[in-house]
Amino acid sequence: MSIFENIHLAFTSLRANKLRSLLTMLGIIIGIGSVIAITTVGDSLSGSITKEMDGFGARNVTLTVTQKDDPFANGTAFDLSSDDFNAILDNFEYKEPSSDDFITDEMLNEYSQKFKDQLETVAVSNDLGSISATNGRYKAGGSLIGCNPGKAAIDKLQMLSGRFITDKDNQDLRAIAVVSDLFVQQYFGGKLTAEQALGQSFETDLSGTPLKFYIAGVYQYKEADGSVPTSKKQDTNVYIPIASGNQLLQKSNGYQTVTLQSKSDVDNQVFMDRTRSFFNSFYARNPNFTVSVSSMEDMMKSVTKMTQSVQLGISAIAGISLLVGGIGVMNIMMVSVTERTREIGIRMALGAKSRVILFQFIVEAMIICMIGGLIGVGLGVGLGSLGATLMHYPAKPSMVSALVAVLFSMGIGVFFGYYPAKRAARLDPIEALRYE
Amino acid sequence: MMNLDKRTPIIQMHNIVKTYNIGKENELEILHGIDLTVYAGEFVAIVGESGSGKSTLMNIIGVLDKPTSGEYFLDGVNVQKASPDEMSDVRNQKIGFVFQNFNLIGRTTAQKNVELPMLYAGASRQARAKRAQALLEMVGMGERRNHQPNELSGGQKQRVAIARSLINDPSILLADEPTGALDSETSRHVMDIFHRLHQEQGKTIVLITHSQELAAECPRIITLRDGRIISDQKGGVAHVDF
Repeated sequence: MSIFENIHLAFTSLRANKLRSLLTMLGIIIGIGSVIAITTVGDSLSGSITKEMDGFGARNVTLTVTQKDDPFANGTAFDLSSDDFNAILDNFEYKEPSSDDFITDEMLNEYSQKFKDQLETVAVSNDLGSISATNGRYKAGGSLIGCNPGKAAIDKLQMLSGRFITDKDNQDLRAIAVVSDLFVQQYFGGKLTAEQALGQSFETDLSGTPLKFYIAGVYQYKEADGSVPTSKKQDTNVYIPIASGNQLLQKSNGYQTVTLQSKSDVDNQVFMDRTRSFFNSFYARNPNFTVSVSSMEDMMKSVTKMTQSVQLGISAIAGISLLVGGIGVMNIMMVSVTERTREIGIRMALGAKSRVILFQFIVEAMIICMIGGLIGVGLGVGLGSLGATLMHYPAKPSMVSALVAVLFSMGIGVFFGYYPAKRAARLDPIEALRYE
Repeated sequence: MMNLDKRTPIIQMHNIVKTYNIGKENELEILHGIDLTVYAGEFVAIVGESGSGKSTLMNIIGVLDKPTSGEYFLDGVNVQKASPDEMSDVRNQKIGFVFQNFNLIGRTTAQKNVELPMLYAGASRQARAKRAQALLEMVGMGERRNHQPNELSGGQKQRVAIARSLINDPSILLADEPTGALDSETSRHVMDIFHRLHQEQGKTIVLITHSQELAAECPRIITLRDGRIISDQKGGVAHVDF
């Protein structure tokens, strides 16, 4: 008797008990469905986070002036039970770093000298706030960013015309700006090209202070690969020399955050450790502040780890549902064997060997679970994609996990179908034929 | 009697004893040494009251059960020494069962029911379908081959069961009270089919019944009482209008 005959037989028997077969499958459907839904959402999430962070530059190393006792910065907040956590938060007192605490140009110069063979870029920037510039009936908006030359590499800017901010711009406190082609188009109403915009000026104001900048360079605007679609896509960055910006706003020199980029052949982890010890030496005598060193890579790892552990947790719960589903299959198969005792007797009398009966019931359980698994995969992919779409992530259902899920549910069928099938195969044909 | 012995023996039983619950307090010996030989082409009725041991004997003849002691050869196979799998093969190849309550498998068409023993024998789908259809035609059920058992009358079910019993061309047909669940008219039809199979195709048939009347129309009548054969006599030759 071939495997196809067995499968055909199983389908015949399932069709004869449609509702019961469906109810039996339910546990498997829910279990497989939730695993697939969760992995779909999780994969979509970490997929777009990874993509997004790659866009930001995963190897970028960020230096931040932080309080020495900041529980989030030194990691103690994550190691403690909730009581201790609250105690630490209660004890933690936020302090505003003063200009004495900032990272200075002297530090950066010394650092650049010492690490020049490992360092690609040092970028400093201050977000000065959003501005809008009006030119008759045309209007352009953007975020005003004070920065040094290194910022161009960090933001991956493609220059269309002119140049980016230079060190000399900063020394001379020049009132120049680097804007996007989108800004040019909006401000000049599409009348000027990137080339023609060079040397033109635009006027704006920042919290009441009137400002005037000359356009020294135009970069190509790129839509961010951001996960969350921004409503104001027309807002682009307007880069000005950081020193000019600080002077305009009467801010002291010095930086709270600095972004570094190591050369591509440098081990980022080692680079970060060395950088950390370099800056720690400057802050050893500072009573309150130090410099924390982190990278997107680190954050990415922890985000991935977090999504993975959430996935694992939910999968464990789904696993329990699969176990319950499997027991349900076993239960129904036991009932089915009892109900069909006479049929089994007839089959045996007509020459079915024990192992043929065994096989018949195992195949039946396996097919129930396989169909359940397939429905579950369909449901899971659907729900997962819907969830991902609602969260504005591109849905990324995994073919591999779908295949594994179906095979796994078939395995459940074999495992939980074996015992009932064995009971069927062990029946005495005389007793079975007499069964009413 | 000499001329009978020259024929091929299909069933050879010597001193068959069947005891239940051996070694327990309720140990019970049902058959006390049965000697029985049935030759190819015979139509034998085994008749007895309930409790005479005829069900036990039928289970042993049908290789559903093994005797406690004694020898049983079915068409040359030593049943006493057969493994469970070998017993399945013997049932499949050498015995065609016809039961009192038909024992068709529900929710399965007449044709699929008839095909079943051939399926277990490993025959191809086409071969099974062809033979099943021919046999259903023969018992007059050709037009109802796609009906399920619950759509058939008792007599129709029994005709399907007879077709099924013949599908592997067995050495004997073993009919256990085949008319027990039928009214007298359908019983007559079913018995006519058996007579026809015996007379036209030379089938060896063992009919187990409690009815003296039914047994009387068989050429050989074996009477069982209290686990012993008390008579083995010639019966009447049935007059059948085909």
